[in-house]
Amino acid sequence: MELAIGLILAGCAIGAGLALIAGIGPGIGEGNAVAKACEAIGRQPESAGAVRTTMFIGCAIAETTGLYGFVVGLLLIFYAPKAFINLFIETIGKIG
Amino acid sequence: MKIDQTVKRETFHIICGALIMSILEQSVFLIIKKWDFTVLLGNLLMAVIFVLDFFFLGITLQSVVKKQDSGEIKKSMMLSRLLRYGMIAAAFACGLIFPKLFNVWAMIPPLFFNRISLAVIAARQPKEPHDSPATDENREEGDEVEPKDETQNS
Repeated sequence: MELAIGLILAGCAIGAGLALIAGIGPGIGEGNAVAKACEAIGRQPESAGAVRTTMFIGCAIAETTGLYGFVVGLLLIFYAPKAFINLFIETIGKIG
Repeated sequence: MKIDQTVKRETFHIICGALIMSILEQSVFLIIKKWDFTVLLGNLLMAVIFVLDFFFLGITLQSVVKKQDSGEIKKSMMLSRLLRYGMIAAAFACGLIFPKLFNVWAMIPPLFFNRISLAVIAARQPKEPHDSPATDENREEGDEVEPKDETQNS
C-alpha cells in the first residue's frame, strides 16, 4: 500500500519535471524571434509596425505551448497526487 | 509608459475571443448539468489571468524592441516570463486551495482560449505577397540585375 502510494507520488513528480521541459523550447524560440525582429526593425524602420504585430502574435503562440507544460506540471504537483491516491484507495476498497 | 496601438488591438481581440469561448464553456457545463457558481468563478479567474498574461507579454515586447543591448533584452524577457508564470501559478494555487470557490475542471479550458483566438487572428491577417528574388523567368523589363557573386563558384 505504502509502496503504491510512493510510486504514485514519484510518478507525479517525474511527470511534472518532464512537463516543465516544454518551457525550454518556447523560451529559445521567443528569444530568437525577438532578436530577429529587432534586426529587421533596425534594417527597415518603416516596417516596424508590421514586424511588431507579427512578432507579437508569434511570441504569444510560442508562449502558449510553454504554458501548457507549466499548467500540467502544476496540476501534477498540487492536484493529481491527492486525486490518484483517493482513486487508488477507492479501488482497493472495492476489491477488498 | 504609452501602450502601443498593436498591443491594445490584439488584447482587445483576445478579450473578445475569451468572452465568446467562456460563454461556450458555460453552455457546455449547463448542458451536461454540472453548472454551478464555482464553474463561473473558475472560468473567469483563469480567463482574466490568461488575458493579463497576453497583455503583459505585449507590454514587454513593446519595451524590448526599443532596446539595443541583447543582454538587456534577454534579462527583460526572462524577468517578464518569471513574473507572468508566477502570476499564473498564484492563480492556480488560489483555485486549488479554495475548491469551494473555483471548480478545477472549469479552470482548464481557458488555457486554450488564447491559442484559439491567436490562430483566428493569424488566419484573418492579410497575407503579403512573398518578396522572392527576381529570376530570369519572373524578371520584368527594366528590373535591375544584381551582379552574381564570383566567390560562390570558386
